[in-house]
Amino acid sequence: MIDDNIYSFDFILVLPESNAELNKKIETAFIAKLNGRKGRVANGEEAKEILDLYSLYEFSNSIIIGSFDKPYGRKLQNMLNCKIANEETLINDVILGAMNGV
Amino acid sequence: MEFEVLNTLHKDGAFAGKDVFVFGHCNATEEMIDYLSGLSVNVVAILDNNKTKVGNLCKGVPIILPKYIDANGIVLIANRFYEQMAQQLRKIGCEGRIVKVLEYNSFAEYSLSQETVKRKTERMLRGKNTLENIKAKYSKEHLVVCPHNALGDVYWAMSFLPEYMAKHKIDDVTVIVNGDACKQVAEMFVDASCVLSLPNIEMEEFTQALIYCNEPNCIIAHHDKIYTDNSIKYLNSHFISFIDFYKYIVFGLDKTAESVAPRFHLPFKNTAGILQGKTLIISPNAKSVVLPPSEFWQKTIQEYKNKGFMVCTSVIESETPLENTIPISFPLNQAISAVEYAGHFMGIRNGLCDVINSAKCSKTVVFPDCIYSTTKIKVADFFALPDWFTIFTDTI
Repeated sequence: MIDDNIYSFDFILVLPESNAELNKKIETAFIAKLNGRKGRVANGEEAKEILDLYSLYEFSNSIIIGSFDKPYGRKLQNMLNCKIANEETLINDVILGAMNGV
Repeated sequence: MEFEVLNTLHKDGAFAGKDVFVFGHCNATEEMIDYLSGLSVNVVAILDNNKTKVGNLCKGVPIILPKYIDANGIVLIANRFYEQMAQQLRKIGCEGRIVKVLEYNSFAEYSLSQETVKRKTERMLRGKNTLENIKAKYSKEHLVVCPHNALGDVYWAMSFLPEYMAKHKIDDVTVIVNGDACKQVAEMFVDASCVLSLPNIEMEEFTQALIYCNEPNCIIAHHDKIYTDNSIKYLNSHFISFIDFYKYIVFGLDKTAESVAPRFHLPFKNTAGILQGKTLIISPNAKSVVLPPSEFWQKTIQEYKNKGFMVCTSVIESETPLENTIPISFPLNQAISAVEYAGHFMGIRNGLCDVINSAKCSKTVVFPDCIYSTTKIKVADFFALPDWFTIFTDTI
């Protein structure tokens, strides 16, 4: 159940992929970047529920979707396929880019 | 853009005796300044964290750092980063009223109330209805959606479309764009019967439906518009040009992929009687960039006139031409032949520069010295046009 509690977090990492290795990499980088800020990780059914609602509208700017091609419209997989960026760069600078400071 | 909240504030006397600030230099801010001016409310300053913009004027209003705000002023914010911006102002001692001005972005609303979810569901369903109507009419075609009302985005999306179609073995496409000007640009590349135009609100609803329904036979061709994609953040620590952004990131093409020039453009109808090869056409306006001072244009105009040139300003609808120039208007599908006929074009970096990119004539682009959007890259680097003569406003 998604409720207003999500607004008490600085960042919520949503992991909708079934790739455990990729999820681990993103989660590790996420935790390292929190740097005292309040964050939590959503996976499994909760991740799916958040992703569905996030596909309806952007209900928070604290949501970070840990995927190269989800939600629909995301094009990070193209960057990997074209070799203009590697997985590490995309995780640290793009997927988690919102955590790098304004 | 709807500024109902500004009307309400005005009626309630919220601006009376207050210094009015807007936070964040962008299109919405400029529209707000115009709208407030119509209510006889003058904006004292635009607050912006971008130091390259600070010190410039926009619509006659100075751009200053937020720390110089009057503690009791009223601040208007039309930005989805409203919360962060408001927090910043409070931290630096702003005690006055801070107001979120809607409707900046119909994709975002930071609320989980039942009313919000219901409204957003209805919005998506309206978009789904549009999607179903389009699919019923164009059942076999791959949908290419250009959601951004920006000529340059549509131009480069269309330029790389043939390579994308070849890569994915797509025979037929329907191109769906935002507004009639973008439709004209798309029609320079593909048959007009394959291009549809949606008004902005309908396009946003339609795009939301594509996202929600995970529409399979479709590509959303954009570089920064959709909240589900965050590729633009790559530019915070790496470089890729606007053109390559379309080639690699939007379409996933490889190095060998080539853009194509427009196939369909019409001969120029010279109703203004400009001199062939001896006319300079100036395009002095652009969204969201600090424009050069009028002295720059007047100096340029005089230099060309001294050499026997006729000097025109390209104007759209009610736009005012630069002083000492002749207004000239042409449909976008005549733009290439118009500047080729004139012989010389000079423009602030805007979508028209993209549209005439393939024209064979003298082309000069004027770049403001500022940073692109939320990135750390200069506008001049991101939107560089190969083979054009370039002037930077910091050298004027």
